[in-house]
Amino acid sequence: MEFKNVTKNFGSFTAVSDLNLKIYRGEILGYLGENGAGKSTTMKMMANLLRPTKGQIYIRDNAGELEQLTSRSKDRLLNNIGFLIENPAFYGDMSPRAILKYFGELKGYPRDRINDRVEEVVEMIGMTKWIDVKIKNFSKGMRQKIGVVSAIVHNPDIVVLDEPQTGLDPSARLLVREFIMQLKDMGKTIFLSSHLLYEISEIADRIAIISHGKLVAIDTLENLEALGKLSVIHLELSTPIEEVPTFIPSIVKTIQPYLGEQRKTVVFDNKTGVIKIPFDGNPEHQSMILKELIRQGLDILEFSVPKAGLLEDLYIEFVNKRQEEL
Amino acid sequence: MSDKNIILEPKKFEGRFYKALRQIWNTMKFEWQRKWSSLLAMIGTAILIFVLNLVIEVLQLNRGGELAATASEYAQSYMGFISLFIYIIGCTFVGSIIVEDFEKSTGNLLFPKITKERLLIGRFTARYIYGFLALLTYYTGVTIITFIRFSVIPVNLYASFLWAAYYLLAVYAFVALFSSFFKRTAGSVIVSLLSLLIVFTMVQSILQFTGITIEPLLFLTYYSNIITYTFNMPEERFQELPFGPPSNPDAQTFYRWITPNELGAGIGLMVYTVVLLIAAYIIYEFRQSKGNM
Repeated sequence: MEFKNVTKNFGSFTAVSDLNLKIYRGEILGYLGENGAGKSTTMKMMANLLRPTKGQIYIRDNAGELEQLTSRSKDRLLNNIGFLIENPAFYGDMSPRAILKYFGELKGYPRDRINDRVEEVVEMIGMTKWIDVKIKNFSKGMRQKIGVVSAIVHNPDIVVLDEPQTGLDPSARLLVREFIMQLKDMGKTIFLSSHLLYEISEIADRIAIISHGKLVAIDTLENLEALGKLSVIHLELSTPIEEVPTFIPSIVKTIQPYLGEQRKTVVFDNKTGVIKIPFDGNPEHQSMILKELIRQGLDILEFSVPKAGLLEDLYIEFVNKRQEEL
Repeated sequence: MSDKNIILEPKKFEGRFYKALRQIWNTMKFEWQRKWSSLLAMIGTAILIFVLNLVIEVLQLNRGGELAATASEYAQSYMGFISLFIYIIGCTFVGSIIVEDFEKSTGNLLFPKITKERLLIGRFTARYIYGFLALLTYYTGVTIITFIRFSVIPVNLYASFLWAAYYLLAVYAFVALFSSFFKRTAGSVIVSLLSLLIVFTMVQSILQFTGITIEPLLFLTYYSNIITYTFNMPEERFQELPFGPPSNPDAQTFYRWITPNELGAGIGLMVYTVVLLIAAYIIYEFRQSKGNM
């Protein structure tokens, strides 16, 4: 799929500006942005719920050719895509079985097998015993799970999920995350939007960051890291928290050669006991810092480079740059 | 999480026409499931109106009133609430037909799967069939009671039923138009009902006093008269009625069209239905989902 110079205006307000984005077969592309950044607008344009003010959207057709999405071609091109846009309200008086069966049938899933298919996808999200219960009795999280499977009931090759984990409790979030990974293992292409950095960093192959309607970065997390020239080691010592500050000067001295062009410094959180050590992201340097710290005789409890925290820093960096441009 | 492997289905290719028919049929089946309780409510309303008419008739007979002279006149006496019943059916089944997709964001689920025209055709047809069944229930009651009283079923009763069903179609189209541009189902239902019950009648009454003698074919509610008058179609459909005491030389006259004729009603209702439905569809098609990002 490809977005080419796509812009969407609502009156004088530009929701998406000159978006160029490619999504490759079999990948999970995480689409990251703050609330109101333009994520849902992008996905709605892809689902043809909104029409771009400028630019074109291309989707690969059955013959393998990229074809422009228009009102005329949408019926055919969207056939192989499953969408979950925002938090849709389901018909409260209907059961998941009836709704999913309808959606599957609309997309041409074989009639004689649709019941089995519905049971199968509902089982995937662990809601088998709720399959014939009216949706008005469901919690928000349960509705959201039904929303996610509604996107795949017809077994599409491409799945577009707009904030699928919003409003879910941690266990449900984990379930959805595993579910998305399962879809990837099945070879599906997934376009996933979220403002939850951790969820994106855990599963996305590439990450696109959108801010105020403008795509500010797109690449793998590793390449974004290199681009941002930023990584942070989380170090925790088994030493009592009160004594940790005495080690900070020697730690600062140790990492100086590996800071690159950054002017950041070591930060100690006296509540959690975690020391955040910035460095240039080079894995060799990471290893050398560890060796040096051990050589200094520090009693290390934890030494890690968490992806989520990194993505958070990168995200803020890219978004701040965009805000400076505006 | 189940570790059950999902079998990839071969993609089924089908013609555009067949696909459209299949999706319309799927939508109809789904709508019938969704609107089942509304159908039961409308059948209940039909029975209630019928019983109400029956009670009025029994009370009149007990007070020394006479039974209608013919089966046709008798059946006609049951048509007093038929327009109101049709409006209730129309608003119940069609008030939400378009607006619900935007009000509850269900369009976000549906529009990527089915085109709006197929969705509208499927919904409209399914809901019309349910409305038709509710109407049929009422007429069945009238037919049975007429047969019990007179041992005959007047042919005009069938004609009245067909006009009622035809009028229902136009009312559906009218309510669908309101549903296409309102933001809430409640708004669409209330304004449709008020327009049908009050606005049209009020404007028509005002026109009667202004001396305009043109047949009010532009007023949807005017067509409802044929449902009742088909039992006894007047020779003169246009009336000039003096207003005030006959001795007064300056007495005003007001003009009244009683009912459209069959040809006028046939064409008028068709034009009404087609134009309103097309207008509703065009608004639906160009109405985009909420612009929140």
